[in-house]
Amino acid sequence: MKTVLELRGVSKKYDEGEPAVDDVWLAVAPGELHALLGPSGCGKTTLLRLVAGFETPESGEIWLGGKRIDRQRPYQRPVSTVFQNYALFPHMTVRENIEFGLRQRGAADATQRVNQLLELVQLGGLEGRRPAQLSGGQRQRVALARSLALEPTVLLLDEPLSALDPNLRKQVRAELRALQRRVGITFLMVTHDQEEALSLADRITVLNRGRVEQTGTPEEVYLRPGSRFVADFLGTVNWIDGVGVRPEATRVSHHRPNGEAAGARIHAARVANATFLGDCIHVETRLDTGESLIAQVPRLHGQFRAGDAVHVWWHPADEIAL
Amino acid sequence: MRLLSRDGAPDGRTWLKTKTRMRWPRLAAGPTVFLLPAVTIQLLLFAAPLVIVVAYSFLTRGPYGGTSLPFTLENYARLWDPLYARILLRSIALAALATLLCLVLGLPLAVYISRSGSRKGLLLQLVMLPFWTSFLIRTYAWIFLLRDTGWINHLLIRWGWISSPLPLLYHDGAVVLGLVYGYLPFMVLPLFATLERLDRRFVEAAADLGAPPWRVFWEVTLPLCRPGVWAGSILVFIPCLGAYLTPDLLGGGKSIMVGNLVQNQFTSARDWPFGAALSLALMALSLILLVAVRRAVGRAGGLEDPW
Repeated sequence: MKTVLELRGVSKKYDEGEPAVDDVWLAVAPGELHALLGPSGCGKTTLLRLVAGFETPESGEIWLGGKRIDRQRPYQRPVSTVFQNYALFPHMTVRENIEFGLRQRGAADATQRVNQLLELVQLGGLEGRRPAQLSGGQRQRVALARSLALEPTVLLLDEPLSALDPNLRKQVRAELRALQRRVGITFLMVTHDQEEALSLADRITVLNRGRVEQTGTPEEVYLRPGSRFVADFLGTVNWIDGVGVRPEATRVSHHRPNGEAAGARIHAARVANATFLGDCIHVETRLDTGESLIAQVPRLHGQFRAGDAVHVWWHPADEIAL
Repeated sequence: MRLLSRDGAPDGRTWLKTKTRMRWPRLAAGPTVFLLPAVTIQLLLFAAPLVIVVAYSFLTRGPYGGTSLPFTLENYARLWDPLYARILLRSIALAALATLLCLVLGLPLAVYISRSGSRKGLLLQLVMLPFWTSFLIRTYAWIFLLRDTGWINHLLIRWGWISSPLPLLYHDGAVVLGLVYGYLPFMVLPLFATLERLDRRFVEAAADLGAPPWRVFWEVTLPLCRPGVWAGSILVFIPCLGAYLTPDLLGGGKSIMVGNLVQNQFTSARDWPFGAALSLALMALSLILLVAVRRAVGRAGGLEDPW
């Protein structure tokens, strides 16, 4: 595989306690949107800061576009960062913010470049405003434009959607994806939101306690997780007899299933609780053997009430085997 | 003044919402009692004397000092006398120079302290250390250092670098030196406070966008610290403008500032009404400057108010 950014056994330790980043190997392909996913404290932000140059690794190497960069100063590295709260310069207008990087480089056509970028992120007409006069979504787009202005080899994004209100997030997510496709720049994005990672990324690296758990496409990490941690972090899993099955692959019926259930694993159970969620029903069941299983059943598959005797079943192909 | 108004008694909810920006007029009825001593002292020792000074400034000079009727505007008219106007302008120039030097010296110091990690506390203590001794005594100490037979001249002659003492004392340079020495901490402390509050991510973002350290400082750190620069400059400029001890001791008789002029009117010149008018003019000037700076900082937009 061709790589643009490569981390080779990178470790970073803060003063006390466990290392924040522990022997991380990571390869990012050119043009991909790569997500670093993990719970808070897993080292994903430290990893991003190591690539940006705000932190120096204790050991290991960071290679960018065929050059070793882990000893370079932040301003020497051809990467840019979109910060979690955007860190737009409050004393500068939108235009001055976007122009900042170009001015550092002494670009001659800065004004024209800024105009193009304003158009790219649809902020035309707002170039004279200050960050305080913008909405959350607009600030995010200024931050993107400011970082993209330098045409970085890799754009680093630290939780780019977390500062937005939830209603806006899905829309901006789609815009971000479209933007990445359009500019063709490699994005390395940190997130703790598995849905965000699954819907946005070409590939996901799941981190846990400073270590890489698994790297793969969204389908791979979701359907074929490499560890129990990855399986649990990407969504609910029913663990039974050493195998896992996701709630949406778990079926519930009042009658013993036949036909479509050929080869399926079938268990007798009772409904402990059923929650109506609109498009689907969240059914909690208790097997006769005592284990609890959660099923997410399409609404049209029937009605369930607490106490109903049911059959819980799934196809072995849908099992997560570790 | 609505200092004692009761309509702003906070209920729990609004207080929680506004706790980061509590405004002083919003006081509960109960704690108002605790303000009484301070308010009393202010009324007796600040407001009352101010009223007296205002009254004096419109009176006529008594034959043997003191004041007498009739009321007159004569004292204010004399402020425009070129002799006094020149002293006022001189004072402004010296105070401005001292403020500028404090800024030039204080800024690197504040930056250094803000980046000193665990030694910050100690360094701040050192900045404030001079306050442990009286300003008068510290100013006298400078005389011992600077006079013809003082330490500096003594050592320079002994080392053979000069043959006769350098005139280090009793001129404007010595006055400015004394002012800078005296008021430097008032510049360093607000600068340090703004630097401490400055979000490190702005600095990181600037470096990330390719700015080398000196440009980060010049284009991001310094502009964002402007409220601190203004606050420090005001805290230095206003007392420097009214200084009389420093010019009196270090400037000798030659270097007169408006503070000395006021002092002279009340002592040797025995012209209390004119002294009163002069000190009110000084006060008005300071107030005008305060308002102007407040406006300038406010217009910067999106930045935190220094007060």
